[in-house]
Amino acid sequence: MSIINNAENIKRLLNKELNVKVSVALFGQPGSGKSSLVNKIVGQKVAEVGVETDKTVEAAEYEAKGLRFVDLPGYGTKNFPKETYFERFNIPKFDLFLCVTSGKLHQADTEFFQELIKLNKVCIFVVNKHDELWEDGVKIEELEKRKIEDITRHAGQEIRIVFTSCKLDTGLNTLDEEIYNNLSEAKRERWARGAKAYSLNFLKEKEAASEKHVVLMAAAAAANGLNPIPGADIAIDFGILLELFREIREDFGLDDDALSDLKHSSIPAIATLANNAVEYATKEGLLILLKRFSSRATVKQFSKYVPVIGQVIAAGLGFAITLKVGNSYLDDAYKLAEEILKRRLQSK
Amino acid sequence: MIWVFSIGAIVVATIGSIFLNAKSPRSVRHRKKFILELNINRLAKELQATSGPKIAILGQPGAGKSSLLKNMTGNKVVPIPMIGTQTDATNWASDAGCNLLSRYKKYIFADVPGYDTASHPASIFLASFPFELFDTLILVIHGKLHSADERIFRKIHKSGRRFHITKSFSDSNDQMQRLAISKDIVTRLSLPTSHPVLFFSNRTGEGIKSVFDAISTAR
Repeated sequence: MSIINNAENIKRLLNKELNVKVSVALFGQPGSGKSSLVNKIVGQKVAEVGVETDKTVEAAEYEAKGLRFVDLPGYGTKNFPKETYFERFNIPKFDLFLCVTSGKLHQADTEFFQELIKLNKVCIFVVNKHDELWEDGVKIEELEKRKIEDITRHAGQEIRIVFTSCKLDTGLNTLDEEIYNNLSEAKRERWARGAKAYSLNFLKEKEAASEKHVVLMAAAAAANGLNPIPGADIAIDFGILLELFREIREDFGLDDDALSDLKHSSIPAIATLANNAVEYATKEGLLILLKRFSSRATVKQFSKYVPVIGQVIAAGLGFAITLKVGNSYLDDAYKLAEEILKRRLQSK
Repeated sequence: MIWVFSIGAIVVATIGSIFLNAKSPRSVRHRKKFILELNINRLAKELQATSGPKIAILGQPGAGKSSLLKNMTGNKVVPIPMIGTQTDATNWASDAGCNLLSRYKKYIFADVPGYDTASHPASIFLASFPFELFDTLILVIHGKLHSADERIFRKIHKSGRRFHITKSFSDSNDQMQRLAISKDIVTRLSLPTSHPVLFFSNRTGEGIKSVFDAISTAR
């Protein structure tokens, strides 16, 4: 096998990985908090949130980090009759459905759910606005129990029900994991990388999924000898590594605001990591990192990667360096995200 | 040979469906709709037979109608409405003899079940609810305005009766949100921008009194 064949192979693998998208459809009454929920899951403001009603005339679509969310319009309304609904919105193609409710169950939701069951589709009930669940003199546990009974009765079977509050950030981890558990292996990785972590466990899941991605990107960078590393006798593709860094920052929720906040952390080690994460994101910064690792890197056979990226690249010095550089950036990102998450969990 | 089998299959399927239909959810739903219609007809008769200010409380399921009635009357309304987080806590669709009206002092209230659920479709309310037999109609809106709310409101407006637009769960909204919500609701309902939206919270008790005042101080 030549290095060119290997490079082609890696490109193909990366493309395949890029094409893996998790598509989630949300349905439920206006005002049940679907947009807020999407923003909470992605950890970015992708959907407009407002107290005003905008009549959904088409399905609203949001995509970020390989996760696709579609906010379906009312089922069986004048604009969207039941007969043509499934075809029009290509319902069977979705990986998973979230029925979002914040009050009581509506006819349209119950009916649409029944149709999904016929298609063997996974549907999770999200009782949002958990903070609004209140009744004079009744304990919250009792109210939750009643809610579960009510939904089960309407659904006609046992189903997954998650209580969430976008105001208090509760239940979001349970939802993250419930969705994760209901996806295929390939999609799980995508989900773990894209969905915002609300628990340390999920953050570890995210790191594991990212590690696999780092291997592919590092191999691609090594296979494409575009930019010589000064002082070392090899060339790699800087652009691919910088793109990898950007993806890592995005997957771990390290946007500019979060990083500048961490730069002023009272923990010196964290402040340094935050500074580095910003610095290495530039070509100049990346060069510093590359030089440091290239002096230490040794050609050694990464035998476990051979089946994935091929003998020629796995055995090369370039891959030894890019993999180290990628993993070191991932490590830093993980530590920073962990710090943010710990702080948030503590403040609760 | 094949067509003989397929005809046989059709016959079996047809017979099967006749037997199954007797207990299918569809027929249960039809029966519920029928009972709901009976009750709405009875409501009209009862209203005509009673005197006193008549008030209907209408809204989505879970909007907080029953709690509003309970809180407005300081728990003194008779009978006390059924409150619950479950869908159709107030139910007119399973018992043709169920209680439809409640009383408090001289007032007669109809705590109408939330429309747009499987057993209380909005279409039946739109077709047969006697809006014109009430003196005051209160529309309770919880979150965002639904198309069913708009359709019900058009009926309320057409009836020419006095009406109040209220927004429940006010404890979830700050002042800025309230302004935006009021503006949105009155625009969607084609009301003048100055039309008040009464905010109230069953949880904190805020605004409950002003809803009752709005009913009782009328002419």
